Amino acid sequence: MSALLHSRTLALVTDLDVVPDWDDLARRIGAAVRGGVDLVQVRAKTLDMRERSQLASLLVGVAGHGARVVVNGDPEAARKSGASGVHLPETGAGSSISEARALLGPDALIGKSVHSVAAAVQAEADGANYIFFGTVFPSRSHRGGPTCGVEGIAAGVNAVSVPVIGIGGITAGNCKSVIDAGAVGVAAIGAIIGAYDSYRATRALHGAMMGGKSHSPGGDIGSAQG
Amino acid sequence: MIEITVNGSSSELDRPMSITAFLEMKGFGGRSVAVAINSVVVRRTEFDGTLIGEGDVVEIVRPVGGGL
Repeated sequence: MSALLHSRTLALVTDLDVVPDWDDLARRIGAAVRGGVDLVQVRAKTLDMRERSQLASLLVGVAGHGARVVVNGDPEAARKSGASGVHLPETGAGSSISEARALLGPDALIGKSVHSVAAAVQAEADGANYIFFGTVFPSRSHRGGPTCGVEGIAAGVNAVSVPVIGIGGITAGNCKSVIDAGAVGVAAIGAIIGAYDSYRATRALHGAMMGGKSHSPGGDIGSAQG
Repeated sequence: MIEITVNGSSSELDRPMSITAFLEMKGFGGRSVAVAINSVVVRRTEFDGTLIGEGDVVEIVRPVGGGL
């Protein structure tokens, strides 16, 4: 697959704190991919590289041709698992795009999380294929942390030429505002894998993101935040 | 002459000019930088058509190091 994202991307970030059981997580990921998720980021910081690689391999198989899988912060696990690439944190260990590119090659999908315009510009210059920009709205995973709002998304989108995906507190009720600000997509955690029915939750998010009606009659995912 | 502020320092221009022309004059031509005028980040596709004028506060955000 090419390193380009779809013109509308619905991304899912795994969280073992939300769903610790691998088989349960795999079922939810499968349902989410059937529902319209086309980018899965395997975030499993508590696992060692071997375990992370095993989990990523499992999810690469589950995703099949329906979604690309990237491994958070671990290019080696990405390589071993057959994932499409890696998603790197803004700073700290394992954040180097050039090192990841050297290991994974020019066709790998390399994304970067950023929290400012300056970091977005840097990530693009360093060769990121896409950017996660946030935290857009208050979220469970960054409780009490600063948020950038849709105005921040608009600034990030204007600052770079690579695709920008909004993350943080994304729900079916607010994701369209992120798209309207110029993002190519949104990323969710709890709003999908934390939902009772990941398929219906994904359809609701996907429908809202595309500007159409929810495909999930009933069921309140509005309060579930990623 | 018109007075502007660039990354916190006072500066002067002979005349209003586009962001594209301004970046070329400053040696940033062709580089991946972000530009905010009066705190609003301007989309790159609008650099040609956006003029920097009297009193504008310009912020140029550029990557550090070699990059690509």
